[in-house]
Amino acid sequence: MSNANLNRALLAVLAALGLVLATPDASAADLRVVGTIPDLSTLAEEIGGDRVDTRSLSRGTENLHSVQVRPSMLIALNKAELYLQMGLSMEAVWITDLLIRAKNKRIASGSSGFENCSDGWEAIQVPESLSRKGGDLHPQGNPHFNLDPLGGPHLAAKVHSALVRVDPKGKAVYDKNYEAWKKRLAVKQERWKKIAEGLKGKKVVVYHTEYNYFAKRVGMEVVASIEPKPGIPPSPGDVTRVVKVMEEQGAKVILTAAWSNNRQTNDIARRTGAKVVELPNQVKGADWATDWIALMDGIHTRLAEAYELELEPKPE
Amino acid sequence: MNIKTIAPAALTSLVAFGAADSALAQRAQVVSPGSPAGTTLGQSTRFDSDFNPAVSLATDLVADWYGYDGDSEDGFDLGLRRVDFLVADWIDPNAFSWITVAYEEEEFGIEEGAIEYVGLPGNWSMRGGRFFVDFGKQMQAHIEQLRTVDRPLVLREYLGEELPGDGAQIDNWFGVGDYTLVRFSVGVFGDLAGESHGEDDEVGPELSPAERAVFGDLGYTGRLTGLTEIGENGTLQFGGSARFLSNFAFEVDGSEAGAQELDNAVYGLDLTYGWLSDTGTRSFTVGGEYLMFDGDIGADFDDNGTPGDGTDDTLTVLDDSVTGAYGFVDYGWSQFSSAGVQYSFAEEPDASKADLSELDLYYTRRLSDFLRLRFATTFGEVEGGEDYTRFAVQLTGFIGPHGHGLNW
Repeated sequence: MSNANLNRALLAVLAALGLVLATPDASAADLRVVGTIPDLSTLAEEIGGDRVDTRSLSRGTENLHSVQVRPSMLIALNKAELYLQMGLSMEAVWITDLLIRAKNKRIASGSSGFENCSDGWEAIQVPESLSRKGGDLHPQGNPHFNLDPLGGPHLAAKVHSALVRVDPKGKAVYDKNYEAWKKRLAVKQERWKKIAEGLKGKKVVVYHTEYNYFAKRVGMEVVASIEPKPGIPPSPGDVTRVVKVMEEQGAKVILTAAWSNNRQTNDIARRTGAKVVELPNQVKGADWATDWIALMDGIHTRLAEAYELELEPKPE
Repeated sequence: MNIKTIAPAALTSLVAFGAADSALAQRAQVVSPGSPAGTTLGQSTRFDSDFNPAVSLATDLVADWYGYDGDSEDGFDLGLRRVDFLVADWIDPNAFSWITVAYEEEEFGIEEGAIEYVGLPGNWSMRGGRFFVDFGKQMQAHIEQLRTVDRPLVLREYLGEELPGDGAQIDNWFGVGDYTLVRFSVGVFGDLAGESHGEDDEVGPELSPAERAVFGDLGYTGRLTGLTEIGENGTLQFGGSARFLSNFAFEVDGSEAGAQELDNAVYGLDLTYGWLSDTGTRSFTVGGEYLMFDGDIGADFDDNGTPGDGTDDTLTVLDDSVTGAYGFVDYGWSQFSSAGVQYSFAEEPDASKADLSELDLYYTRRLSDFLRLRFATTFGEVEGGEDYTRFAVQLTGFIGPHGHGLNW
């Protein structure tokens, strides 16, 4: 191609792009909030009310460590005025490049629109040494604290303070909605407390380390993980190991998520006579997990059913 | 002014400058006025490792068996195909850098060494140095990162096994609505010749770029691509790419035959659709790319006259167009297992314009996020040449920090 032709081709491409770039952005004036997971976006929606336009990057059904990047994620981050992340490296693998390419200084780390919701949270399972021999380790500890019965209140407080910081004019609205959320939570916490008394000391097996916070908080004993190390699929030897532990310990319930390798989980359940309880690991991971309180309520209910506890009051 | 006054002042100056700057070379960390500027290391000394960059490695082992329909010798080969050393970190809040050193065929080479500046306004970003050029969906990836053991045949033939360029590139993207984005890039390069690996036994003219070029004679790349979401689970991507190579020469070692002031271009159109289940455990991807290679696409060397006498050789440049394409279908039935088929064909960029094709069947097992095992079979057809069959086993390990970058 001659230089003249090359120049003409480049000019034509740039002119076409200029036309598209000139198209006005017709987005709404609400505070645009993006959460990495629905737990955060639904809390922002509840506390922010009509003042916010929320968006979650993950759907709620995926493996949180390997969410597939989609075009709408980049566009949402580019427009966001407040960005909420779980932290503890939960999203690190897929969010890093998105944030770089979003080119949005309002939500860059260190700016007022960036909220790392694990700040102030005391993580469990913090590795003593970092080596891939330990699997897909998170250097700062287990990031699934949204599944701790006390995780929701921590996240709600973070979301509330971030909203007030970014949009101080809306403080009265945010305070009011936050108080309403806490009242709704308090009612449910009474119910959860009673169920937790029944769950205390029960033995359980998990596929991944998602439910360790929950188990620890209510006093359940995690006797085995089907994954030999976080993120490492179980071998036939691992399946045999788990079966043996379950038989020795008398564990009769396995907690797993929809994304997990449930063929092997079901195989273990068949060999041990255990019940498999498939639980979401985030809001919107099941039809009934519409927000964080519903998620936590549903987890309590399903565990109570699995261990055949008396449920009072009846689940919604 | 006496020496007793000057000496303490000079000493104080030396210490003060030494605290602010550090010498790049391994010498005493004292920089006096007029010395080459060092780098400021902030709150650490040059003996601290607190600000060391992230280091990662990829190790790629391939064992294969080739069987030929003709006289070529069948047989096995196995060994270390490649090791990539990657070093990356932020330089400051607006720029990051990465360097990839590849060990391949008993040699080390700097495959990438670039700085990307993201402090430009809007969605603009700029990179400079040596980096993989922005062409289609597959040329930006290192070979061990691909879905298949090797890059599709048509890309190898027209662009090279890998295509690092020495130059600069500017990028921008914008959203159209909430679910569609458009990205474009323009690159300008001093060296954009591409690399061919594993084919060093071929004897013939070698392409070499001009040592110095006027602006219009530099190498250029351009890419325009759009991505849009289809339903809850699908993403469709289309794109067009171009690579212009100007003012290059064909030269032959030990011969005076050659041709200068040549140019050629490669154009590509790509289309990819990806579907991912709600849980992210099942995936389906179908895609392809059509390429046209145009201009001075090759040269035939003839050792005329006295064999070995470089003064009477001839070199005939082929000024023509050839085309080719590849397409693939890939299905992942779990987060650990996937399989696919890929077909690629191309007209060979030489005087014969022979039809070449490869059919690849592959199964990939991810033993973990960091260890991957692949079994592959390739059926190759060469018009006027020897057809071949290849069975390959590939084991690839990744050590160190990792991330799932944007492949757009």
